[in-house]
Amino acid sequence: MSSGQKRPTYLNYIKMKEEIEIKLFDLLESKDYHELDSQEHQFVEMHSSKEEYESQRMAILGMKDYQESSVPHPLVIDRKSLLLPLIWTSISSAAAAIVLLLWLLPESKRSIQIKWVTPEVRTVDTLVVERVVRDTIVQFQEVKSKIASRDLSPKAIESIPQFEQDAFIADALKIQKLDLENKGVSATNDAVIQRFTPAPFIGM
Amino acid sequence: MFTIASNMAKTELKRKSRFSDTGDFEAVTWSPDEYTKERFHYQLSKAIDNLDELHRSVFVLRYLNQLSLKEISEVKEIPIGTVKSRLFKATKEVGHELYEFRSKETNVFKLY
Repeated sequence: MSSGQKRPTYLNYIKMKEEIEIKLFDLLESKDYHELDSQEHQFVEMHSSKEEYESQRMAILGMKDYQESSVPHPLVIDRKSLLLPLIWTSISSAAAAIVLLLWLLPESKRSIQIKWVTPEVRTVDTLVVERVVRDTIVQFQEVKSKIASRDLSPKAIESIPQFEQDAFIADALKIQKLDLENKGVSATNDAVIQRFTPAPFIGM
Repeated sequence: MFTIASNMAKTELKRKSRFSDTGDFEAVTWSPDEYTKERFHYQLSKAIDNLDELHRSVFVLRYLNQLSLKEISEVKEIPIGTVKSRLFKATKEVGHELYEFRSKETNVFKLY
């Protein structure tokens, strides 16, 4: 054996045998013995025999004939007949899942409450009020100027009573909060607007 | 779905382990020189029945359930090459059982 040649092993032998079987099977499934070309004939003769090939081919074709015959093979599974049990299984599985889910859910969540909401007609102010922030600004400016009028050195700020500082901050926050809450509320009910003195009416 | 089919085939195989038990051919007897289609089918059934599970399942899936090689490979979870190899062995064994019909093929069915 030359050094370049692979030493035949049992695994190689098995693999080679399988390759031969695969090739023979491909021929068996596609051609009758008389349809094989000379090379294929040679291959079949080398690894099998004409008689064996024909017997195997007969088994394959015989199965076709057997299937077409009236005698139903006990192993035949009609794909269509599989569909119905499959659908049935799917439906019953889904139903079982729903029942299980309902069973696992707490009592309070089991029933679905449907509230019938009667359409309600509401009269709303159609008056759109553009928020006048001038008053707010003025108020803030006043407070600011009050603080500003004092000596604003850090020392002086410290001298402003804490409650006054807190009140200012609290007031500012309250106004901001009210402003957000009252968006869309009629001007007559607007807490922010009511909070400040009305702006002088400017006649048109 | 094919896995279900395979499992059902297996269950069916276990339940009806022998074709002769099904009674399909039980009462039928043939004289030695009688090569009828029925006898051929009987012989074929017997041959399939005699196959071991490994080869019978692929043979049944291929030629009775008419699954493609790829489908069988998926159902059995084996490479297509192995499917072919098993089918070759199965046809070889079944072919042996049908050997006597080879020369009588015209009476049974047309091979060519």
